[in-house]
Amino acid sequence: MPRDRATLLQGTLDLLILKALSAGELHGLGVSRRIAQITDGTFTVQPGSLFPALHRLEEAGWLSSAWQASENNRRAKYYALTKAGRKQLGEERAEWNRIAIAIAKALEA
Amino acid sequence: MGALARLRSLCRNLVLRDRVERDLDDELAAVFVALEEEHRRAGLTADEARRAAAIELGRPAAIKTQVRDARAGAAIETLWHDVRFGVRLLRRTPPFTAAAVLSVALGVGATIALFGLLDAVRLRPLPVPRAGELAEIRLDGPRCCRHTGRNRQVSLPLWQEIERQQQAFSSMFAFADTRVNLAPQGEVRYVEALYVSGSFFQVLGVRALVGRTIEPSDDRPGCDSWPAVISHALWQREFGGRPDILGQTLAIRNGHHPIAGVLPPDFFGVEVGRRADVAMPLCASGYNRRDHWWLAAMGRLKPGWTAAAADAHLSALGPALLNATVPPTYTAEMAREFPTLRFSVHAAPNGVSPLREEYGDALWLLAGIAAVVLLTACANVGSLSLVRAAARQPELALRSALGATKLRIFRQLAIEGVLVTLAGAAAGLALARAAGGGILRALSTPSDPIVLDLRLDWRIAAITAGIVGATTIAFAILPLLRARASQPSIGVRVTAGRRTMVVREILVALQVATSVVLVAAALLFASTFRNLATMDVGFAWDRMLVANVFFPAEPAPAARAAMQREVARAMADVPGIERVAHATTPPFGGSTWSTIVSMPSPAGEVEAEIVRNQVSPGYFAVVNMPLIAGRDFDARDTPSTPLVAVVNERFARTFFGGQSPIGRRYTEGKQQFEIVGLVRDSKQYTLREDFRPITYTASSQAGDPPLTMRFVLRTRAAGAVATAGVRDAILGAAPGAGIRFATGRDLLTDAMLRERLLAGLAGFFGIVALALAVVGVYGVVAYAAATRRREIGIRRALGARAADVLKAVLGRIGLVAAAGMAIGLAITLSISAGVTSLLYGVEPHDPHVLAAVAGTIFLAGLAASVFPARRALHTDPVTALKEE
Repeated sequence: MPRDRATLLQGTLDLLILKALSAGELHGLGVSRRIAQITDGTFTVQPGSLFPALHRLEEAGWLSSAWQASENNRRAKYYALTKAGRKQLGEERAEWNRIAIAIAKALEA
Repeated sequence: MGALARLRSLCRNLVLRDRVERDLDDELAAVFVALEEEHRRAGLTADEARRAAAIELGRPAAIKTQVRDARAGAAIETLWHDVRFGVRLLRRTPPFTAAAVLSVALGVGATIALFGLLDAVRLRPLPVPRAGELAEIRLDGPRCCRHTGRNRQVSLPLWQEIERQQQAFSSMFAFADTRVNLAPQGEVRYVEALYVSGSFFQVLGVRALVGRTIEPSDDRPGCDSWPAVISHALWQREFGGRPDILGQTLAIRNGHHPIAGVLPPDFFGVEVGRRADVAMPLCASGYNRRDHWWLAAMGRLKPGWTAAAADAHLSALGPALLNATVPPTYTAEMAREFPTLRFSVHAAPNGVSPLREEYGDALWLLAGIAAVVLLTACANVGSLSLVRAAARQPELALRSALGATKLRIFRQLAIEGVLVTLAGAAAGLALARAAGGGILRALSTPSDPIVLDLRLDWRIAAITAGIVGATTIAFAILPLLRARASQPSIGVRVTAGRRTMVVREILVALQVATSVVLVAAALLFASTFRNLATMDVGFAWDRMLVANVFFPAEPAPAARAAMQREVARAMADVPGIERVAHATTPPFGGSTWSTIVSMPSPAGEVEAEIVRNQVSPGYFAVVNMPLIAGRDFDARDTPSTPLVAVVNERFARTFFGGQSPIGRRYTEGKQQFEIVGLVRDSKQYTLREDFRPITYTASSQAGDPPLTMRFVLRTRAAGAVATAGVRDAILGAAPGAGIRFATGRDLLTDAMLRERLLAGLAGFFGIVALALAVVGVYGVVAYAAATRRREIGIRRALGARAADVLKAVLGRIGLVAAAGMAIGLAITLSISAGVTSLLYGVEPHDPHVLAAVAGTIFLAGLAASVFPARRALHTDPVTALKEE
């Protein structure tokens, strides 16, 4: 399994977590799996990075959490985007696009 | 983020610590189980699956630490967030915020300013190494045979004798304050200066910033060329800080003297309140006689010696020292009494300071007043916070309904308290700076400048801010107790908690009490000021102008006498000047001349110390001091005719039992005077002194004309005098003379500096306290009326009379105010014994003053209650009932 093949840019993890949750609520492990899936395995987020990030985002008011039964009937803590989180995702997405275009332009020049 | 979401996020943050921990444990355990299950489904055995899950999850402890760190970071963010939220809330209620911040600023500012002054004048040690070793030597006893004055204790030969014989000090130094004129001619420009013994700077441990200090080799007997050392301030001010300062000279004392060095900026000398700008060796003065009393002596006590031990040592040594230095000019009797003078030693770690003696009590009192203002300010902030809390009850209840814990709301309220304190303390610091400087300027006069280093004492500032902060926060969170009492319910009700109402009433009583104390102080000091300002001093000061003229040393005495007569004539010709005379010591000129006279009396020869003044003919008319009997001095009185004197009524009453003194004689030393006139009593030195026996002698019978003449002029009109014409007249007749003017009003103003300061500050604080109390009373009445609107409405609807309603609204606050007034009066009477020395012509328990205080407070309280009470009275019953 490729591990941390690409180093995450500062702030990118938050964006990926918000994006992963934009389709619906997930538990912690689910967020990690979802990120691996939507980035075709480029990014694998280790629990040591994932959980502090989840809690930080929750503190910031962008995520909410609740204990629910998981798909195979275990208790798991599910995270969901709040309204503020959704707004934040929009802002971070726009910011990322701006940077990506700028970098791409810079490299083509 | 909307307000609601923000609230919810804040609430979530309140989850208690162990719950967070437990939740995190559960979450990680659940993840572990999920991972394990995933691996098992992928075909691993139970053991392998567990190991794989453990590897993938990593160390739970490390993850938990990271999560905690992330949360802590977020906590700081929420704190910042709370601060911004608090600022916004405070900005939304400008009246509350302004009143609270202003209260804190006044309390903090007053306290810091006055404790800062107190510290600078009384408490701070001299900025020299081991200041605790310093002690000063004083000479006490009958004033038979020496002159006394500010820091003038010993003669040069006596000082040399002390230094040689004593065993208690490891090293000693002597100094004298003086001033030097930096203006070449015309109106003088004085700077403060010091004559110092060669050991002065070495013993104090002060090194020069540039060049060197005065050294023992500079102070040789009879030196005619000597170096001067200047202060850092003078270097900057007069020489622009030029680096080649050591090549410059200073034109003082009729000569040019090389500047040997510049002193460090923080060195002001050893006298607190003054800054010496020039230091010269003792020999520069030329005062070396045994009857020149001009030096102050200080030293460093040897290790193990206390001031008390040194005192015993020196008083035992005293007679030998004094016997060795009896002035040859003394009469046999004075020489006999001279060795009975007694030396005393006093610890002087803070230096010496007449300022301290004069203002020490007043400063303690003002600092006490400042502390009371601080207390009032705290009470005011507390009572304002409670009003605000009542208005915020719905908001707090809503928050608590949304799940905010007590801790969370506590933090929000505490932050608001801290914000108010910080804003108030910052304004207070600025206020303290301005006030401290302002007080110093008020106390300084051109002839007596006061220089103090009013640096901010951070300990005082911190303690003051701490007191206010604690109070503010305490009252900010008091509503929490109510929030708990009134559980959140669907219909959030505004309830008047009985408990907070009582707290508010106590606060108002406290405010009334402190304002009684401060208003009483203001009235007492205002009466003192008025009594002194309007008292009969025995002469007419309102049209008086004193011109001190310093004649050049050049012309010989005979030519100088002619020059002085010419000056007097020229001044009399200046438009606006009615009469001119001169005197050695014009009243309130800052000095008196005491002498010992003796005269026959029924009980034998009596001897007494009285005040003497030497005046020119016409002096009594100039100062408007009526001649009651006999004659003024005139052309008959010359150096060759028998000596004559004019005495005042007190003199006649004291020595002749009120009989006419005309024709009687008294002796002073070897001279006999015949009394030819009797004038009214007058004050000579201070306003508070009793009339003293004074004898006036004729300057026309004195010897050589002095170098300094004090002319007293009577102006045609009261008020501002154009001194330019007088100055030109003087310089026209005596080129190169130095001049200093003072109007009678200036002299009187200088004499009442302390009273003016006390009256002004006490008045200001009295008004502040009164304003704070009015706000407090208004708040309580308005609040009581508002919470009882319904009841009042119903009662009015049922036909209650206006008077009954008023009684309901005002009855309790009246009781509260009366209690506060009683407490305040009791405090005033109990502490007033300590201030009687600062008062004049008024007693602390003066019924008029107490009645005026009570009346003022009553009127203020009434004014504060009228508006809310009127509103309650005019409540429309229907509206009031519909509101709920």
